This record gives sequence, structure tokens and C-alpha cells, in this order.
Amino acid sequence: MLARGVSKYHNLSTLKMYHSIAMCDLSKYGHGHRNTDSFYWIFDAQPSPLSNVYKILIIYHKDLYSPWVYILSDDISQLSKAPHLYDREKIRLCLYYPVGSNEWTKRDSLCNTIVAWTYLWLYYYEEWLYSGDWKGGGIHPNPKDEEVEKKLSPLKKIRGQKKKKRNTNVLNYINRIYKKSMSEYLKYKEL
Amino acid sequence: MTREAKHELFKVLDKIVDKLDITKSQYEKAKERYEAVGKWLANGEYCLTGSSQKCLRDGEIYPQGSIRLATTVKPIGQEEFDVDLVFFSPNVSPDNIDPSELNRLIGDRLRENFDYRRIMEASPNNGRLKRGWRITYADEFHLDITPSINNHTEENNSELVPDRKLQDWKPSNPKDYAVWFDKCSEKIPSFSYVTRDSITMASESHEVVDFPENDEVKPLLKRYVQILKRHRDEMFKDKDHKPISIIITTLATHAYNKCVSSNTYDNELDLLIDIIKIMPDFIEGYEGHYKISNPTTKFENFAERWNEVPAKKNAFDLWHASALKFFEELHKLSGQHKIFKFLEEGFGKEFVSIVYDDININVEKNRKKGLLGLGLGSTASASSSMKKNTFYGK
Repeated sequence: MLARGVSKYHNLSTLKMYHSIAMCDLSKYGHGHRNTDSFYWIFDAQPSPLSNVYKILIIYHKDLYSPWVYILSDDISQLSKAPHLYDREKIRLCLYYPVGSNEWTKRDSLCNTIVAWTYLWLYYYEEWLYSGDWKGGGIHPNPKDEEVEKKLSPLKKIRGQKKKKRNTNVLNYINRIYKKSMSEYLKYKEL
Repeated sequence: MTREAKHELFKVLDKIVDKLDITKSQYEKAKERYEAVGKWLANGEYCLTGSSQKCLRDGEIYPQGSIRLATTVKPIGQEEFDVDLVFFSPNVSPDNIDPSELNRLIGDRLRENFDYRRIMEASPNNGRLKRGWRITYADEFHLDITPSINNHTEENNSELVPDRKLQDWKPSNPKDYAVWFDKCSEKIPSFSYVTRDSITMASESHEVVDFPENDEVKPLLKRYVQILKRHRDEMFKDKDHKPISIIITTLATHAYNKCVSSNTYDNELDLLIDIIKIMPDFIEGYEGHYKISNPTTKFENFAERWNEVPAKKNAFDLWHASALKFFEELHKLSGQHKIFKFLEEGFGKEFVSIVYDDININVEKNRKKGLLGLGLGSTASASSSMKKNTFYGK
């Protein structure tokens, strides 16, 4: 494992990340927009030739640990019940184990990580609709971990507040892009 | 549905009936067993009353029907495959033996063998069939043996077999029929984009254990017949007047011939739908006088029973309409889960879900190798590399 400073040096820039998603065979047929610190990308994903086509939105900001992945859909009655979601209203996917696993690092290309895992998630989602069983494996969060996070030291609290402010900006960006993409998706669907 | 999807869907159908097919080792075992029966019968010293002719001597046993045509489909609710056999006695003429007598001689000779006798006595009706005898090998197959003799009125391999009531002889020609069917199945359809080869390659890469038959790729026509027969079995599992296999096989073969010689197809599923559409065109005659001839012998009418029991013709019409509707609706669906649920209606849950599980196993294998591969064969995502991941979250 690399030291903190070194790993930062090796991080893919937002530009490189954007490229890795726009050039990826799995996601190249899409569109998006890139700023200096952030980008989003929308593409159609069909996990197998017999599967439905899903509209995927990926949003990234350099202050985020990893890109956020959404399924844009006007009917979430079944999607919202699927396992491994961060957000059941917006259908945000949980694709990897974030804690100390190195499954995802900022050095990774999005193509063989986030994008490929999205396909994999979609495959297992349809299989789950068929069999009622999630066969893709995974870990469900331990409620104890969340409690530990709440008991923070005073120093950590100040750091946390600063971080919170920064996070608000990031969250605003994400919400704005999500809303915009969703309304575009709905408008396109009507046509 | 796109061309790729239809092609993939056909691969799924191909897999389902492959699971229902007799395996190579089962086939070899059945062959060994029926050859032994044939030998035993041919060594029988039975003679006609008042004649020195040995009826069973020099007799020959050979497979007919689906086991010979390589179109077997495991029957629903039964562990055994049907292995239909003919025991041909060349030394007998129809003038000096009637069907029930020859049939009795065969039964007597079988019972002279301790093993066959034991099996037959433990079977319903002592192994007696309407015309012939059954030797059941539990959970494997049963051998159904029908007597036959030479049909001297025709110059081909035509034979005479007992009618349903064992009262009279009627012409039949299983040997030449099989040759005709094989020849038709060798005709390769012209596909504009996908070829059958791509299916072969895909299935070969899947560690197929016990591939059915000797030839490695099942000709498309044989697969179609299996698909249609399975659809029929599922539809008629609790109903009477199930259309007989020979009718489905014969009509599908005529339809295949016509489609293949006049059209180019986009994919295997479109061809199948066209075949189903025109199958009834090859039924001759009219109510009470329907005729589906054995193309290789005179006077053998596979639709004979339709003229005695009109409900059988109605049942065929119902099946035909239902099969056409099923495949036409199938290719309008999207969503792998929806397609597989729909397939269960036509082919039964058991084998459809086995095929889905096979795909799951492939996906898992690929995932372990660091690959994203989510279908039965080549898909857009087939060759992508993928890092290991653990799904997280509630």
C-alpha cells in the first residue's frame, strides 16, 4: 500500500477519469459534461442481450471518495426493493466494499471497476427479480460501525465541520446533476 | 427484440432442450441393452405351427422414432426415456402369420430370459403394450419393441407392422423415414448475420458434460423438433389427445425444407416461427380424411387417428396456435427475468431455471477470473476485464 502523499500523486485526475468512462466499451455510447473538479456521464447499459436497457448516471467530484452511480427510471417499484443500494428513492448503487479493501482506489480506471460493476449489479438485479435471491454476494453494513462514527473526538468534530461545508457543495452539485439528468430522462421518455 | 437478443434467446432454447436430451452415455447404454435383446430374440428357436420356418431367427433389432432421429426429449413426470425399437423378422410373410401371433412369439421368447422376465413381471401389464413389449430399466429408459415383417409390395425398406388392434398388418418404413429426416436436417439454412457455428463455439466453451449423440453439433432441424415437442409435452401434461411426435416431426421437416430452400433468415428464432406458421400447409385432405403421409412409403398415414377421433385434430390445432403465439410473444419481451419466466410457461420451470443457473455459474466463473461476461456467449461485455468487487450496502 502506498503512503498517503504518494497515493495522492498517483491519483487519476478528473480528466483522466472522465476519459476512462467516455472511452470505455461499456459506457462510450453516452454523453456527459466535465468541469475542472467534477463530471457526470449518462449511458445505456444492457447487461446481456436479453436484458432491459438501463439508463445509468455516474457523477463524480474530486472531493468524493468515488463516483456515485444512479439508475434513472420512472418506475422504481421493484428497483427500490433491490439489495445493495445506498439510496432507495434515487436508486444509488453500492458497488464495492469501501472500508480498507482497495477494491476501488482513485488510481483505477472507471471502465473495469465502477462501470463493469454496474453491469454486474444489473445482471444480478434481473436474476434477483427472477429467483428472489441475490446471487451476486456482498456485505451488508454493520449498524455498529455507524454508531462508532457518531462518537467523534473534539478535534475530529472541528475537522468534520470543515469537511461538512465542503461536502455540502459537493452534495449540491450531485443533487443538481441528478435532478437535471432525471428531468432530461423523463422528457426524452415522453417523446 | 434485436437480432443479437433473438440469437441469444435461441441459444437459451438450445440449452433447455439439450438438458432434456438423452446423454451420450445413456444412449450407449440403451444401445448395448437393445442389441442384447435383439440377439436374444434372434436366437429364439420359435417356429410357426406346422412349419419348419424359424420366425425370429435372423431377426434384426433397430431403433426407430426419436431415439433414431436424435430428437429425444425427456418425458414430463417420468425418469425414463422412451427407446422405440423394431424387431424385424425377415423370414416371415404376412400370409402365414398374423400380427398377434408374431407378437406373442416375441413376448414368449423374451420371458425365456430370466432378467427380461423378472423386469416384465414387475411392470404394469407384464410389459405388454398395445402392439409389442416393454422392458423397463428403472430411472434410465424403457425399450419398447414392436414386431415387423417384410413388405414385399414395395422395393424400398418398407415393412409391415401390426395395426393398433394387432389384427392386421399395415405398411411402415421407419428406416427410410429416418434417412429422409437426416437428409433434410443436413440442409443448412442461410442466415444473413449469425451462423449456427457461433452457437457451437459458445456451447463448446461451456464444458458440456455428456454431449448427446455421436455428432457434436445437433442439426438445427433436430433442435427445432425437440423444442416443439417439449412445448407440446408441457401443454398436454394434464390433457388428452397430445399430438404425436411423428406428426410434429413430419410437418416441421416439410416446413423446414420449404423455408430453408426459399428464404434467408436473420436468426434461428425467426426461422423457427416461420416453420411453425406453415406446418399446417402440409396436412392433406379434409375433415374425416386427413392425411399426413410417410414420405417414404405408400399407405402409411400418420394422421390416421385424426379421422377416427376428431378431438385429436382439434388438439393439434390448439397446440399449433398456442406454439405460434408463444414464440411470437416470446420475442417481443425484454428483461432476462421476464423472458425466463415466460419460458417456464412453455418448457416447465425445472429445466428453464437450470439453464439460468448455468448462466449464473458462468458469470461467477468469469468474475473470479477478473472478467465481465454476462451471457451464454459473446456479448458486448464478454471480453471486458473487471476488478474484484464486493457489493455493499443495505
